Amino acid sequence: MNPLVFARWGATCADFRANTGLSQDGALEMFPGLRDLPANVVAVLSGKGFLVFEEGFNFVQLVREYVDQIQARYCCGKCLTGIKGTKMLQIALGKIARGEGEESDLALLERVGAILDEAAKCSVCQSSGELVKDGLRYFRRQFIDAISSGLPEQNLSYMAKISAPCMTTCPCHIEIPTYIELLQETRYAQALSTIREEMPLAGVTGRVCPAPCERACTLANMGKPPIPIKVLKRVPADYEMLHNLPAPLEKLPLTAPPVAVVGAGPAGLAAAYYLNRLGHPVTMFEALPAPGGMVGVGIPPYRQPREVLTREISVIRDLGVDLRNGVALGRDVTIQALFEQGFKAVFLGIGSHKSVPLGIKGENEGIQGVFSGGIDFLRALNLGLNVTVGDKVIIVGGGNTAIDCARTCLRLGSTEVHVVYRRTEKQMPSDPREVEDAMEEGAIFHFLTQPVEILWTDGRMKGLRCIKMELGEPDASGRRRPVPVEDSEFDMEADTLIPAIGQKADLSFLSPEDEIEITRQGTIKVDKHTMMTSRSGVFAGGDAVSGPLTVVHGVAGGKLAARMMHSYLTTGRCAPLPDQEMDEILQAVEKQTHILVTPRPETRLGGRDLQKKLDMRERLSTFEEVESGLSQHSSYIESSRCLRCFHLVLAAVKREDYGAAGSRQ
Amino acid sequence: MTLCQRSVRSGEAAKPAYVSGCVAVLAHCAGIDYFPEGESMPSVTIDGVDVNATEGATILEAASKAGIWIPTLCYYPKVSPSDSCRMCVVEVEGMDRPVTACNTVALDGMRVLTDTARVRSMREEVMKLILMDHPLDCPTCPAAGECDIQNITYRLGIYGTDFPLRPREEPPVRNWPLIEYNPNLCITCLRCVKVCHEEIGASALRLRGAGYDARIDTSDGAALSCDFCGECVEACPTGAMSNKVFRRWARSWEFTKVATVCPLCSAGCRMEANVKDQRIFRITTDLDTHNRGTLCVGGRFGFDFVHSQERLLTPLLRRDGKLQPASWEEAVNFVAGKLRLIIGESGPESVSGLASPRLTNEDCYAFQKFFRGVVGTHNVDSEARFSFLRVQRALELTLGVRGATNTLEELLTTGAIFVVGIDPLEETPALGWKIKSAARRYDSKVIVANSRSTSLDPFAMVRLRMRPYSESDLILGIMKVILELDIWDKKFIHAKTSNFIPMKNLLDKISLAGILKRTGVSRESLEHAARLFAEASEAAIIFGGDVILQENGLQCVMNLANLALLTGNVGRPKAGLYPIFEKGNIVGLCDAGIMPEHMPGYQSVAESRDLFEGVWRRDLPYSKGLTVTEMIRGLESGSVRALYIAGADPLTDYPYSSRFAAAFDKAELLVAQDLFLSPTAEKAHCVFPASSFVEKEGTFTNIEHRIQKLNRVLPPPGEARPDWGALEAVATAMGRPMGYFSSRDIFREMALTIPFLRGLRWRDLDGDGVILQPPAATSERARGGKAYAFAPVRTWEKPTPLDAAEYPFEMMVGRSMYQFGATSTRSRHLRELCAEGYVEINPEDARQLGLAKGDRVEVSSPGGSFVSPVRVSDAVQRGMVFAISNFPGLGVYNLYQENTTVCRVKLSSVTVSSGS
Repeated sequence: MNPLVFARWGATCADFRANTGLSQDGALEMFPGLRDLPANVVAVLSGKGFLVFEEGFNFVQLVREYVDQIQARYCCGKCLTGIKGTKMLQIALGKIARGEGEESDLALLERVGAILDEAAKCSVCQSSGELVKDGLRYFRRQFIDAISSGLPEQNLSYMAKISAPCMTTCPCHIEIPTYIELLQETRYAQALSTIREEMPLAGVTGRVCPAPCERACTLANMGKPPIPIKVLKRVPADYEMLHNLPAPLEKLPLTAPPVAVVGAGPAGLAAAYYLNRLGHPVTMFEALPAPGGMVGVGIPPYRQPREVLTREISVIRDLGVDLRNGVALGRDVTIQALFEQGFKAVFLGIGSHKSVPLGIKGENEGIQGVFSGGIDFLRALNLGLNVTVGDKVIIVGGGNTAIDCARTCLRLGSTEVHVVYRRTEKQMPSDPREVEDAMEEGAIFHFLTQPVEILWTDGRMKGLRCIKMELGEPDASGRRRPVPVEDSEFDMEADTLIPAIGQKADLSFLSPEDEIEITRQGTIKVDKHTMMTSRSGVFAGGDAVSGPLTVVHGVAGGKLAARMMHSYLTTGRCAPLPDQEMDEILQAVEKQTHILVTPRPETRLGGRDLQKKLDMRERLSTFEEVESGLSQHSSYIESSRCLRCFHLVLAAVKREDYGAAGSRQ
Repeated sequence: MTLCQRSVRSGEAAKPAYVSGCVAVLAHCAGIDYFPEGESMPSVTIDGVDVNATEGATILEAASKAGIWIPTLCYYPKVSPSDSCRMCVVEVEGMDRPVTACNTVALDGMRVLTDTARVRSMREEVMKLILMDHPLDCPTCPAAGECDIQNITYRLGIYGTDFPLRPREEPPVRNWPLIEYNPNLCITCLRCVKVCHEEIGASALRLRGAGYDARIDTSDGAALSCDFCGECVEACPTGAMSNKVFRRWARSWEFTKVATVCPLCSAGCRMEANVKDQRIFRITTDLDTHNRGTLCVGGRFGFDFVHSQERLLTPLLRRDGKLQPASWEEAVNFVAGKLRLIIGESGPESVSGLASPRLTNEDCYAFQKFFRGVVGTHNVDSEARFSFLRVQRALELTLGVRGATNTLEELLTTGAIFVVGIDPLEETPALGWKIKSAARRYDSKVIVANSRSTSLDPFAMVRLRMRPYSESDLILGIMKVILELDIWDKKFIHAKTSNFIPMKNLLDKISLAGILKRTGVSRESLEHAARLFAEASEAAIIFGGDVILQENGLQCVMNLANLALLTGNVGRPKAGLYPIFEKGNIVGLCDAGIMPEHMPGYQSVAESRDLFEGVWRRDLPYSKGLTVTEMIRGLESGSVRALYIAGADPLTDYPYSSRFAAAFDKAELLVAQDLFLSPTAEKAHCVFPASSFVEKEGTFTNIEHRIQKLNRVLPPPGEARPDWGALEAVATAMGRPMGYFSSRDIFREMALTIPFLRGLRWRDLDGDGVILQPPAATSERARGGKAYAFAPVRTWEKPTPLDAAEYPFEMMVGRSMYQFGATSTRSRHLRELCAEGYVEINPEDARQLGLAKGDRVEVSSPGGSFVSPVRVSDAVQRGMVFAISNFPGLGVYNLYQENTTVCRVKLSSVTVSSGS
């Protein structure tokens, strides 16, 4: 990558053109994210400032491009200052660029820049004002030169992307501020369409997503309650479902090459949905008798009611996606056979449905009361099989699966449910709200406790021998590693044990003829840009590739794979999209500073816990959904708190083969 | 003292239920308690003034409460704030950037400055940006005088712009009916787009494009096709959205604005007639009204029927078989003479009268007094006989109320709304919008039961599309399911009702399977509806023509009352029943005693004889009066010789109108008072020209029993007189004057004789008027000592006529969304939207009959036939015909048999195609 030449980032300004005593090492310290920027980037302009990497840059050209992009695409047309201010800038900069400018235009730029900075509604247009002010301050000479002789030709192409902290953080990059604003206007159908652009399972993720977006929310970074982005996503999905409204999706003619999707979980469903939207006839193969993957068989219905998933799947099926349940890869069909059946590409979204064993004594003895794993337990239950648990249950693990098992056992009538976890409560990977709910419902937690041995007599479980742990040195994950406390072993009485310490992909169906490479972690190996496996035409995504992650991650993988498969099938090649490249730049830029926007004070009501929970008595006697959605009134209040942290990032790239067109689709 | 009066002037005593906007939420807020659990009154200091704001109030609202002006351009109290114009920026101490007052909540201890150098300069710069391409052609702009840009620039002292840009020169959009969009004047503040979506729910507009090219467009990009309420015009702060109908004829400042009430439907929206040179050019309304400044197409655009060229200007007398102009003296003497003669020969019982819900309360009162006091008979009736009186009877028997039990405003925040047999958007748009808002902003669960699809369907959680005329059984089905699921309100029933067990015994004998078969509704949807309704915190029932007008109407309404009782939804806020009937003053007409069986105020003749004889100084007749049907029979048999009709047009509006036509031919004296020469008036011997609602004073009573005042906006055209005036003239000529010189005289008398008006003065009716609830007779109902009584239930199936095979279609009637009864069909503006009646048929039926949109079809029954254009729509089920009834001359009601609106018809294509 080129050395940094000039930067203004927030309040930091650094000029490396002349010998100002600053070294390039200093630049890396000041702007740590620079390491991650692709090498061909010449300049980055954004709401936070700008970075330039080439000596011969012309700032007039850069800022002109920035303003042009705003006018053409990114100014929402809803703020008078933004619309007219950036138009005025565009006219003046255009004049200057053509060499028709006058000295007085600089005063005009100054003035319009100032009012944009002061009065634009959101950071998109506001940033153009700041950048113009920067230009006039640091590169006035270039403006004056352009006024006298126009702009030199520059061999650059530009990529722009609008984003927001929440949007960048979301693996699916849902246009969150847009749908939040639509909710404020009670435009549920449009809000849902906005979500569906990037994520077809709004009702599901509105319930079970860990919502990294909310942690990225500017409000959260200001120390206030974030916008409840996750629950707000449920609002339009529930509205459509409860009012039996048909999804406003057009049935497209499916004329592109046919594809097969293996696995009807979040990744497979997303792949199928987006392939369908791109005109491919899609056939889905699901090994289990019901679709949904881990959402269908892993998450209990009190968190994820079945009808929500069923409805979202039926929306996808109604578009013409063919779903075949009970067809397992390896058992009923092979990859080769799929190609022979006429499918031109295959997506593997097989999830990770195999439990990780505890590795303690007694685990494999076929003892009555000892389950092979949490997900096996939940799957059997969700598929309607006869599953019985005893009165005293011990669950081992600290993830969401462990909590799901605990709360499920409470609903099945167990009188005592213990959760044994070897680290502390703070280190639990599960959603803290889930833990809180489980505690409310009566689950007993034993932290810093590790199982050692299962105790049994006559083939029946009697108890579990555990040992106390304490925190030692940090391990590779940065968490302090728990180490056993000597002579602290103790026995817990129990008749049921559910180990839920992890899960991995079951890839036993793959044979060498399939030519699918597997990583050392036991996941399917793919190219991270194209999602293609080692076998040409076979793509993969979801937990089988990433290891167990969340629904949004699965959807993101499936969506990316779908776009890549489309590119592969229509152009014959599979290269990173400009969009992906831009995402990387964006992430690199955002990594330097969490917020790309000028935060404003939040002065709205709201931020209260507005979701209702089912009454405790009802909770434990049924599998009914525990948490309600938001009332429409709360949805309005909460959505009106959004600060609309949209920001535009423009990258000037020295490469011929990228069009100048923006990358937003 | 039976006066049960509630003041509902907005401003005072605002309650959450009265909030109409989502924005509601923040925006409407002065006085509204959003978070009841933690109510507090944040105290803010604005420009040094301490203001106690309501929790959730914005700085803007707090400032306006304190009388501090903050300029706004995109802010519109009805909708969610856009904060796009930046005019309302203010500085808050401790915040480094100015904030927008329109959407920043006033928090306790905040110190706000609204007029600092910084915000002044921001406002000026932004306004100059707005002005940089805004055509300053104010002299020719339709919004001149009412333009927010004009007002703000003037007040802020901004005289032009120094940003160099030429005005846009895009062509104005002129191909929309009634409304024009000039993109060059548009500042994309989104007020129109938001009001259309959030307040009206039509969602016909959107913002298209980005940046400087962003403009308002229709949702589908085609010519505007919507409810045409004109709210977008009202919302527009500039001249971008303009009202085509008054352009170029008058400037806003030339108007005199006269407050009045819309007569077209039973919602009774307040409005202001904008008058210049004795002509109404437009209708406006204020935010400070019970309708919250919202009007529908009828109110906003339908007023021009009063200026129709077809208005009757002089009395007409039939001479040589033709109606010819005559003087009032001639006409009055003719009628008085003839009446005296007939009364002399055959007694007062040979004279009868029909009044109309288009008349004011005072007209109606004078009408019945004319018959009871001058002629000497109780023979007065109206079309309420076929509709509203049934409802009143049913509700009186069960709940002890007459008409709607609760206010319209309460519907906004109720838990569930069951809409049966009506499309409220067509009958009473104001109510339809409330239901939409309730569904979209307040989580209200809407259940729609209708044999057609309605405009509320997309807002409903359950849609019950039952067979025509099976509403009654459908309701019984819901009740059965509620009992079966054990979700009925036992406590309420025990404490407040009688006759539950007898009702239940009858209900138990009716099989649910039979109900499902007769209604064609699935058990699942019935159960879903039952659960939503019974489990809601409170639930309201709205029902209309399809329920009321059917042969089984009385039973059907009683079933609905039973359903409300079964779920405990009577006698408390946000619950209850709302009967909706098309015409404006149907409630007032009944209150005023236009019925043979009751004196005004629903008093029995026996009990109120002394009162009326004392006030009127006349003897009341002892005979029993005739109902409409009996009058017709009387005309046919010759026992009724004279019929006096005020405002009504039985030949257009009454079922079995062909029988009326024949009977009218037999009348020796047929007198009509009307605005136009209606089909009925054409048959009359004498026609008096009547004053329209803008040409007289008087009062109207809307569906929630709100009495409001009409003011005289214009003098009557030609020699037209108010209806009571014509009656007074005839009474005087008969030698028995009623003693009225103005509507106020009549009102004063009504306040003496009608118990629930007692003590009310004319000036009490200013503004939003007064909501009254007339008490109902309790004797029949209260035998059990309880407030409410269940009515017996029975199942009812529409009989299949013998000639069903010959007449394969079921005809249902209703009206076009753009028309309100027969008068509005004389409005040029409304004719632009709907110029003639039509019939709607299912696409499948159309295919089989070889009919396409625009083809003409003959619709015939054994009673008669009419020819009208066809529209093809899957809103109607197969085997159904939906006919628009309110165009005079079409004679849709000719096809009906007596006393029913069930009508089977056949369709035959008329070969002349309209060339579609």
